[in-house]
Amino acid sequence: MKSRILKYGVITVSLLAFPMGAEAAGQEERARALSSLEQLINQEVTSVSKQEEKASQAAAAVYVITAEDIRRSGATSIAESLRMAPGISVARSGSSGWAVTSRGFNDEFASKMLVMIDGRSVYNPLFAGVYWDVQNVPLETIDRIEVIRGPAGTIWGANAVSGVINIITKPAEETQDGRQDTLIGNKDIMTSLRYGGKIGDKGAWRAYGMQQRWDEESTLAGHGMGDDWKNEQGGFRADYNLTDRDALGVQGDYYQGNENFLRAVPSLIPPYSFASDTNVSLQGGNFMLNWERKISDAEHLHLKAYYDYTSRTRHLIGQQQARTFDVEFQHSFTPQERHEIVWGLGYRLIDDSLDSSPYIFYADPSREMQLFSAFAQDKIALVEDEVFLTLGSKFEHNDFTGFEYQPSARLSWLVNNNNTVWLAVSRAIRSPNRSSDDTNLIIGSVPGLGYVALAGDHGAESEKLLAYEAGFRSRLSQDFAVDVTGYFNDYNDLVSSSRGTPYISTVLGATPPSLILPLVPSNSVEGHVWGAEATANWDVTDNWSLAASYSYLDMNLSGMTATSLVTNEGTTPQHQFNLRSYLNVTENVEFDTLLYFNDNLPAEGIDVYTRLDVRLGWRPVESVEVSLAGQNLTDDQHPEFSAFTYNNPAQIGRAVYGLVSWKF
Amino acid sequence: MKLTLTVLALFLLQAVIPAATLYAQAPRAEDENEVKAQIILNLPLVANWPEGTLPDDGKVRLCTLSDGKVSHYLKLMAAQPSYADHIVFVPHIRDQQVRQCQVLFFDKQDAARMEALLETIGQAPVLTVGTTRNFARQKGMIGFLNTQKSIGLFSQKNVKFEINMRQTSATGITLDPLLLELAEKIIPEGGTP
Repeated sequence: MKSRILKYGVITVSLLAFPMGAEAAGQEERARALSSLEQLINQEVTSVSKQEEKASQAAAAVYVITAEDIRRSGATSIAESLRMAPGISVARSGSSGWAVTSRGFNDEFASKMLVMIDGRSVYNPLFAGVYWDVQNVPLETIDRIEVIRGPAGTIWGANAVSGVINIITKPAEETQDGRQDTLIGNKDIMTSLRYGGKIGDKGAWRAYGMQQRWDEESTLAGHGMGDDWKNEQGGFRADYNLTDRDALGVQGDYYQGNENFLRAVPSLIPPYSFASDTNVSLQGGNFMLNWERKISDAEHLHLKAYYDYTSRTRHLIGQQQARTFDVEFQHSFTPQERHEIVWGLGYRLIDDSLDSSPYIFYADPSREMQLFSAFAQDKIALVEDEVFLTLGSKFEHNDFTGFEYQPSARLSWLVNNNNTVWLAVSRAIRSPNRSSDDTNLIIGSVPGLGYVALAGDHGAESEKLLAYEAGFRSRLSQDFAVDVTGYFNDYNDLVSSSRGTPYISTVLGATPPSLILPLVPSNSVEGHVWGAEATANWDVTDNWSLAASYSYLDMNLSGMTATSLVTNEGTTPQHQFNLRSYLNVTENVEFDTLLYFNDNLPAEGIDVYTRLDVRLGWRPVESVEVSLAGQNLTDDQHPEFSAFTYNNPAQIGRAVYGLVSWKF
Repeated sequence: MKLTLTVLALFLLQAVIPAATLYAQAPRAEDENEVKAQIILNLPLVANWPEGTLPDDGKVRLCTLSDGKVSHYLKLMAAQPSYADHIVFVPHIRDQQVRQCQVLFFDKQDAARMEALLETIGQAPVLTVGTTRNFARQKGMIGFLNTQKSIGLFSQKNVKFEINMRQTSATGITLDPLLLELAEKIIPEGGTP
């Protein structure tokens, strides 16, 4: 760094210009003091306590999407913003459907990726996977999205197999006063209003309301899909410091919405399927309580409890409701200089009630499912401040497979502030769920014979992963950093489906009784997935920065059956690439470009596509921001993923919108 | 295809690792509070108090109000000969005695007392330094700021400071022009930053 003061001439001039009081210091001392001060303001400092770890030093494939990334990406939903993360496959299957995962097995119900909002699991307990259409918070209240690729079951438990996404909202103190966002575009219209205030001098609160309407996408033939939808949501968050050591947080959300689908419904009458307008009614809410006690810089307690309700009512399917109560306790401390221990206990109760209908049947219309968990992890400094070994395991007991364990060992070498090398071996599991346990779902028909049903099986086992990872992270200069990860995933007991014994049922097909050809799940598939992910960040100038990422994936499975519907190769791109450019044209004008390349998906019949998003932002005054964005600019429309079961494939069209944000 | 990718990966690693090693000389991060303490201890050497306001021994009285983290380091380091030659460290100064200090430091936990104490000091030649938020914008003289520069997952925090020239000038304290160059922000005598 260029010294601002230590040039000889400058010092001489300064000493003449500053008549020094002889009482305090001589000229030599003064020059030395100025030199020290310059070094001190350029010295890297840390305020991270022992229990907090810098992201750059993590022994895992971590990526952080910042609030600034989200704002400049022009993304209008959480799912869309995840396209920026390296190694994350985001494919939109229709106006309201997204398939999101990492390191293979993508699906609308991608079951191996755990997703949380402020630590509250939004992984659907009934069908596995995430309903991305109801994961909405105003994007401007998101502080960051932490993405971990690879297993993280040691801390987060079952289903954190190929990755974890934690969407973290801003503390209430950072969202004070008012803000209104209004977005109008050819594909969607959105408005949100948020207001926040103080609670004395020890706390803060905020409340928000938002409404979104999304237009339909197109069929492959270019007709309207009829899958338009809308969502209304409100919520709040309050943070309060009870004492110097205790902090309390409460937050909650409530939403309701409506979606439409044009479904191809299986039938035994020629042409063996019929189109049906399907309306889906959505409703849900949550309430969460957080209590944190800081016993010392090195010892913390954290208690978190939440209640979550979700309901979907669908034509031909009926209503599916799930109520989740979850409580977790965590204690972190340093018993000895070289050990940092975190341990915790958890309990989850899921209570559901599920309608049966002509197309779906549950052996048990209502069930309560319990999950007990405990974990412990020790981060051991093998070489002080340089080499760390983290050992730990999660132990769980669920109602489907009983006892499960998910250990991991992670080794990190902090070469210095600028370089980290890490290795990891982890075991993770994806546990069965309510639908794979006792559901019969009609998914097709065999002309002249009967219906094909996806059947549940009480004997299903967990899918198991043993993952080997290695990574290297380097800040090559103040303005350039790279992050490279390689992995080898060894999967066992992956779920496939095989033909079961046909039977006659009057329940599924109503009248007249029909022959049902069940596809029964079996843990028959095993195989390997290996790949690499690389990212680079470059601040080209003070006003222009670039970020790029590339990921490669290779999948080799065996034990597949001809009727396998659940586990498939070719649902995740082998090659993915993205390039982002953030340019500050002037102090008040931004021009941002995002380019995404996705390889083909053979199992989904999706071709290679490239997507270009562009955003122009202007801040005429401090309190107002106006932006104009275009998405999918490279072509009129393209399909990204084929939809699950009855839905028709959709083409995702070009979108243009204007957004006005006003702070008051 | 696999072979090509492996060769590409090896090539990239070969390029990246030596470059990383070259850049490996960066010093480890220091505790933020220790760095703030060092800055405070250097300030008496680049400030000038009005004629006759220093104690007879010519040493600057550096006062703290409580046992905060920065104060802890001040106590440890002020005893070192290089500082003890020109500084007398006065911990836990009483509210009614703050005008006897030449430098008064406000740690984080002193925020509640800040307004009243600054009122007590008035225009007495006491160089006030604070680590509470917006200290220099709330009638303090030198306020610490934390800045952060991020690239990828890496972020570098630095301790910077801003100076309220309106307050220092009113008390007759003058600061070395080069100190002003080091400041992240200057609140000028007649206006806002």
